[in-house]
Amino acid sequence: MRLKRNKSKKSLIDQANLSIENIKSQLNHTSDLKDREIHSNNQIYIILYINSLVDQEKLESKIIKPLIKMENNNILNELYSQEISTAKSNKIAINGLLDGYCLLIKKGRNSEGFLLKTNASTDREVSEPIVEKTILGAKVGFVESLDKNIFLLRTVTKSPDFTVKKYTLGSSTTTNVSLIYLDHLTDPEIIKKVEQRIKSITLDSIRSAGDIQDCIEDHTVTPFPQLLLTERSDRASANLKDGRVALIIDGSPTVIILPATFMTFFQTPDDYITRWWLGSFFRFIRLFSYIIALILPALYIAFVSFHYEAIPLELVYSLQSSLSYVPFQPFIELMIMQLSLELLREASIRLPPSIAATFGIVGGLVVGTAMVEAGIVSYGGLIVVALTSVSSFVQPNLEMSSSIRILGFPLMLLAATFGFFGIVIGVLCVLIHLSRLTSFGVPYFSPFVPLNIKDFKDTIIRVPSWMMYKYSKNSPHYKQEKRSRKWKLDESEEPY
Amino acid sequence: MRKTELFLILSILPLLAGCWDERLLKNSRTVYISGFDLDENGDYQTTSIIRDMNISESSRGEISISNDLVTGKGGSIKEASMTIDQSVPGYYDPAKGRTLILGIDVAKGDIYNVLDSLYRDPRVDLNAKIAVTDNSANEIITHISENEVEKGEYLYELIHSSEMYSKMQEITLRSIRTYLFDEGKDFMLPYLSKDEEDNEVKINGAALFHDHSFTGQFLSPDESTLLLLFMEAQSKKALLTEQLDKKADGSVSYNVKSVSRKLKLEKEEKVHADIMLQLDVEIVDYPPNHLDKQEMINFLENRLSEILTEKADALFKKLAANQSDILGLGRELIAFHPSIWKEIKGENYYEHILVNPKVKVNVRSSGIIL
Amino acid sequence: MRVKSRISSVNLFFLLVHTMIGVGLLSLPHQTHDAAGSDGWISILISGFFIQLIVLLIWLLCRNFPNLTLFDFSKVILGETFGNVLNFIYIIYMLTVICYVFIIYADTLKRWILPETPVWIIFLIGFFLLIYGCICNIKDIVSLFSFLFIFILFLFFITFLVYGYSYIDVRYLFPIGSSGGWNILKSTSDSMISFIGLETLLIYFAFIKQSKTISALKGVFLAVLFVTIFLTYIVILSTVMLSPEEIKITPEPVLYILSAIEIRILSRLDLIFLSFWGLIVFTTIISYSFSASMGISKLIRIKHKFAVILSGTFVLIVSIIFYYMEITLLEKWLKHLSLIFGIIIPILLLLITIIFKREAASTYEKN
Repeated sequence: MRLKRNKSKKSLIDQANLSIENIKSQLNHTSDLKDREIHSNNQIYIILYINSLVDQEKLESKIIKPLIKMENNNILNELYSQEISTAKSNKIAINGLLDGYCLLIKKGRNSEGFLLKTNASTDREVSEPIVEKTILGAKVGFVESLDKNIFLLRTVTKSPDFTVKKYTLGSSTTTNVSLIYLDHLTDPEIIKKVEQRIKSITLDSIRSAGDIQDCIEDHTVTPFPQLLLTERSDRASANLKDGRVALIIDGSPTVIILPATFMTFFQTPDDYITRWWLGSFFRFIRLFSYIIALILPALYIAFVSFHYEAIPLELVYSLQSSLSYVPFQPFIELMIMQLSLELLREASIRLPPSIAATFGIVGGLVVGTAMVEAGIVSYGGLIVVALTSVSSFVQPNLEMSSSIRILGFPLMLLAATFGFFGIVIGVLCVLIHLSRLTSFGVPYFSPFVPLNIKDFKDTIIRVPSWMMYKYSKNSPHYKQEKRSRKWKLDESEEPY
Repeated sequence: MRKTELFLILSILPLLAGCWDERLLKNSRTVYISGFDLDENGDYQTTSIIRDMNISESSRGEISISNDLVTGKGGSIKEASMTIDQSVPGYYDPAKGRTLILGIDVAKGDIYNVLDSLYRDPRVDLNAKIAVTDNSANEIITHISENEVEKGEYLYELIHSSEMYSKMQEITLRSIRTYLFDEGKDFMLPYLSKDEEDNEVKINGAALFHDHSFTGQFLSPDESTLLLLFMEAQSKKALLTEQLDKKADGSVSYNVKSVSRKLKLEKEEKVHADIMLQLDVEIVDYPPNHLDKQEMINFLENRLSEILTEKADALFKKLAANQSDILGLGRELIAFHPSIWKEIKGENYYEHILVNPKVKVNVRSSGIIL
Repeated sequence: MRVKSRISSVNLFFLLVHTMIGVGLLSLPHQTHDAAGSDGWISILISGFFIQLIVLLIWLLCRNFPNLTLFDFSKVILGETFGNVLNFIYIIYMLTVICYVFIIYADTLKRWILPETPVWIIFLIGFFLLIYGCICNIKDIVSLFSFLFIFILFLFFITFLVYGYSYIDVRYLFPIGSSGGWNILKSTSDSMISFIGLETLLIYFAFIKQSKTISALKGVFLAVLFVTIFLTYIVILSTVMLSPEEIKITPEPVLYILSAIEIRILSRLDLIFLSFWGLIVFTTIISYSFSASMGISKLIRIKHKFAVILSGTFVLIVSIIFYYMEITLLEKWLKHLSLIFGIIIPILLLLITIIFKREAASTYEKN
């Protein structure tokens, strides 16, 4: 029944003739669809608009007022709207209405209408995103409006090569998506791939960035994210300047950056604000903490239940004395801890910040110590789990840090079965997997796989910016002049 | 591709059900010290101190740690430890034992018989120290377990520090095997004995070994330091004290900074080994006089050289008497004079070697005063 | 049947190093010592030199058939039937090598860290990794290997920790040449087995860009040089650390030496070495089984994926049978087989090519 109706509506939309009745019926005579007749200069104009999407003030002063006072019939010259386009079909007209335009039709000449931009914007204040905090750096985050986001990006990326391409996605409800890149820096191959993939999206509706991510990422069966989601405009802009592509979705403050490689997730805008060795150090810490978070529980299990002869004697004694009254195997012990930690983590997200702090103390400290005292877990296990979760919080990217959790459990399981050998097997599997991942054709685990020492200078370490005179392999078109510190040569003088 | 991956992951899961090699730390009873004896019947007796934990019923399951003495007998070392295993809660794990003590009967026989089972276990700590005792190992360990101060790592630290001061050759379970299987090298081990007066275990000197067994003779710590200098194997500190005159106050203490050795091997009637040892020393204690004049330094150098050469002569005579080639002259012959080696090789090749040591002392420094 | 993916000379370096350094590493000092005494390192050096020559021969053979692997040009040289027979033998040989690696690997693991774990479990894990590692194209393999090369360097650096201990006695290397020149030369045939992996070149050369130019050889030469130096280093290290009689009773001298090393946080360095070595062994397995599966898929015209599963299954079954039947012939055979397949057959093929002037062009119409 419903299907039938949809079908008939569809045919109406496709009808070429622009007709107010048709539009109205296609929009189901929704009550916020208003029309107004205006008699001006011997002509009857009909303005059609969706009340809730239109800025009343704009409509009155920019459209209706000049229209009434209009002396000749030249609409294009007399109206104050910043954007006027003609709509020749129902489809275009409806799409325009849904975007907040108003439709202006001369009565009698139904075949043509004008779409005038009168949309209301509900922009909230630009504020710093909560998730991706930095110490220094811009306090600007994206908002929910597409245009404003492009504005935010453009203000920090002034370049004639800044290119925006617009797509409308979704077959039943539509969402506008903009593809943004710097033309001179970005690999045309990648742009071609992105466009192709975006065009192939045939979802009914786009709920969030996640829907697009699902449709365009290279590999779906993997814990590793291949697209970088960010709410920071400086981060997005820095990535544009590195030759990447940004995808902005209307209504979502989350911007998709692609292609993202493994190391992209370890960079933060902070790295480039602090001095280079500090930035490199922090980046190294992040990478290190990733590895720690991944294998520390597994190592603990391997050592405690397989190879305790490999750890120093003093450590053996102290571990042993706290382990001896734990009734479970180390694997079970860690699982209990990890699971309760996941519970705490999940619970604290939903809580208001004021309660969350108290909750953290009660949940973390009290429960933790009580568990040890009660002999459910050992001190060693507690330390390992705490270190692991702290390390996973170090990750600047939420998705990357959740890959730790997904990979951590199998590794623990392997370690509990085969000890050290199991960890090696697990790590080898992860490495094989990583070496095959690609993100829009770019090897995901570069510069490690394939090994490229030259690319280390902006991935593992951050060399001073004047040394990055050649961008990575993925944007071969661009070379930065090597001259930024030439003054050093001029200023240097011999000691005698 | 995706299906295969999933298939692989899923099919690996059932494998994870068993934990075949799991050896939980909490169940193990780690060993501090093990000692090996040989009784009259030819059975081996193993004595160990293990770390045991008792969870007290009373206050919040607190754990008290006790050191238990366990012994077991068997036809082999492994059988002896099996006997212990049956008498211990958890499992008896000798792998972490840091100190091994060989009773005198064991040491006089082929010591490899005792060590063999240890080498076959990949988990054994190969850095364990080995010592010989003048009595049975059982007695020493019983004594240690009763004496609160000497528990745990005491013996290990004792041996370790004497190695640090170049009193003992650095020997571990790992390196002793190299000597045992080397036809041209012998070694010495710390010689422990119980001091009845002070009621504590002491290192009396270095037990000389020939081939696989203890010769029964041992060097005093000073002699062994000198020997280590001849081997160029001293540690960072090698402190020696000599009596310059018969007078009581004529002694000098010095620390050997560096050593250079020249070794010449010649085949005459016997194989003559001329060893010229140059010692650079730092005077650390010399109350009778001051080194502000060149003559004084010369006197001291000459006198020390004389004394040390004499001592070295005596030392090498002692080695020759026991045929203990700790210097590794046999290996030197094999490596650089294979023709000589061919003539004298055999179990008692050291009979054919005549060592002629010479020591030259150079005073390089005297602390912050002259 | 021309190959599609292209690899560079550097990639070939990684491929070859990973194929050659593998399971033999641990027991190599023991084996060379059996054959040549304290002069084992000389025999490694000599065989390294020989291998360089053989690489040259293989290259001379392969450059006649650009873009064709052994499985293709054998048919050109020997004709369809005999070519297929040769391919079949080569496939069986490669699978046997994998079985050998499997068995040695499982055996070493069993003795050093997993004494109770049933061997078939280890085989099964190897089987899964083999399949997972091989279902991909050669580019993936190369990029994986280039990363894992870091672990080979790790193996190298771990051994540096040994020098903190005073066990080293250089005199064990002397007198140089004591075993006699003839004995050393004879033992080179034994140490050749440590360079096993060379025969995969017959396949990999097809993938290389500009295989005709001498620059294609550069990576291979460097790889052989690297392996030679690495192995020589390992042999010298073990000789210096252990007395001659001791090496005779120590099947894995390197592990034994490392197990005595104690760094502050870890007392058993052999665990680390063993696990990194485990990674390196799997690269050997992956490399061989990739080649073998390629042969299978060409021989019976099935997809690469199924060929990999087929070869994996073969290896799994054969190694379980060999292990539980305690068939130790494999090692003895392999010593001769590797000589035949790595050296003699390529030379014969080269001779036939030169004498009968076989060229690749004649087959292009056929395929």
